Amino acid sequence: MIMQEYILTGINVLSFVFIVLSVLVMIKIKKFEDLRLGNGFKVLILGFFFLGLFLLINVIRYLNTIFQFVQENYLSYLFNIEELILIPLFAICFLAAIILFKENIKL
Amino acid sequence: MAFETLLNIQGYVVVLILLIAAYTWYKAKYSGILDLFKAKKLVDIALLLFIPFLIRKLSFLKSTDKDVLDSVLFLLVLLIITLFSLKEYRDIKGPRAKVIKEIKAKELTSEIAKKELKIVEKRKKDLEKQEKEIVKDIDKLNSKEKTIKNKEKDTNKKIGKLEKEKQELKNKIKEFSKDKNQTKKETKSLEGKNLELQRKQKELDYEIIKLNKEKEDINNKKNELKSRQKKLDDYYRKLEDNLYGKIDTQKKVLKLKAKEIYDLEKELQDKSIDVEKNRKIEEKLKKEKEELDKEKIKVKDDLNFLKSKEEDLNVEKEELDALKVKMEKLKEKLEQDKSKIKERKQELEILGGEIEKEKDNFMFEKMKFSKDKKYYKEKEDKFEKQLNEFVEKEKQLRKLEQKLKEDQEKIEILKKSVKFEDL
Repeated sequence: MIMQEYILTGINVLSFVFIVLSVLVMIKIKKFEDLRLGNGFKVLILGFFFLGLFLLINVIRYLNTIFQFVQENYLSYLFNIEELILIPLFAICFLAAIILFKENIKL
Repeated sequence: MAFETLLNIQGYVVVLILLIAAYTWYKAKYSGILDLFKAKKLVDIALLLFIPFLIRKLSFLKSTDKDVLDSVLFLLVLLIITLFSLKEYRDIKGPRAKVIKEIKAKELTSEIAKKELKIVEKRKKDLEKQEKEIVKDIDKLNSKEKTIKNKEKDTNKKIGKLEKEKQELKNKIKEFSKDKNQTKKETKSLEGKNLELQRKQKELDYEIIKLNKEKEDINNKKNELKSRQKKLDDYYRKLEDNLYGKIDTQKKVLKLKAKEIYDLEKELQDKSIDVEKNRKIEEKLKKEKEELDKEKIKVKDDLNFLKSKEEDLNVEKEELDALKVKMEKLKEKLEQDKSKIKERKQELEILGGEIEKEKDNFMFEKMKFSKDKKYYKEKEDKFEKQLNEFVEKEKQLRKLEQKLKEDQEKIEILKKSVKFEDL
């Protein structure tokens, strides 16, 4: 059981590292893209940022199951924030980015 | 309970939003709108992120399995995203850097040139597309400019009208200020009249008080005269009574003495006895005659005194009559003054009523003026708002014009770069 938690924390840490990397590369790619797509790209990066926060909270949650350095109350608060705010914001940003790509290129 | 249901619904909503996003993305992609977009694959892969959220909501899986699947899928998708993004970045940046290096070193190989040519052709096509789009934008902007110019004309007309209205308002305000000055002057004159009337009323009141005092003095004098007349009447009566009483007694005494003389003469005639006796009697008679004469003189003096007294009384009576006449005259005068004061009071009341009416009129005009002032202030505010709107529209127009110029400049730069690349 503890092994599984270790694996899960490792996976989450890796995914957090990957999302940070992808956000950084996306910021660099944005410079070569058409100027009209800039706003959409910004919103997409913002969505990835929210996803990164969500993954960070997940990392903290799994780390807490091993080391138990945070009280469970605070963790439950973080989990609620993650579920109710961060994930919907990520989805909304994603949708908004696609709409902005479409609309800005039409103009 | 509500919180849990909200959490459940939230999961499905997120999946739904991501699915809608995927639908719109593929629709746009296959319609050819997003040909300019270089990192299309990135978004294609990022849309796969809805799968872990969907797995979270699958009820037939265990929570531990769900967690494992969820995190593994996240890892996979994010790994692919990072790899693709890195590849994209290299694709975009790599050839350009190489080309720049080769241009710098003047070692352009044919393959790279072809690749670069291909890239340039692609770029050219993109630029042409962009140019077309910019031309469309310019047309749109021109049409917008026309509409804005029309709007500007309309706004200019409106501004002209508003300026006219403003001038009219200013004129009206001037008229109102003139009216206000006139009304102020009128109020000042009315106040002056009012003060004069008050002063006159005070004078009249003072005259009334004076007349009342005079009346009181006259009444006092009258009473004094009456008392004096009474005293004189009493004194006169007493004097009369005393004098007439004295005269009557003296007359009676004289009659008795005359009778005695007559008796003595008869006795003398009858008897004529002794001469001495006669002489004595004659002497006695003489003495009595003298006494009688003396008494007669006394009575005469008394009568004269009485006459003089009567004369004095008559003079006093005349004086009293004259005083009575004077009193009557004064009374008449007082009545006349009273009637005059009454008339003045009536006039004052009428004037006061007129002043009050004028005051009411003035207040009404003041109210009207303040209302008009408010109305014109509101109009002025409206006018200012419209002016501000017009200024904002003008600014927008200028911004649009600047944008247009910038776009034109960009097109020219792009054209120049294309020409340079062709060369």
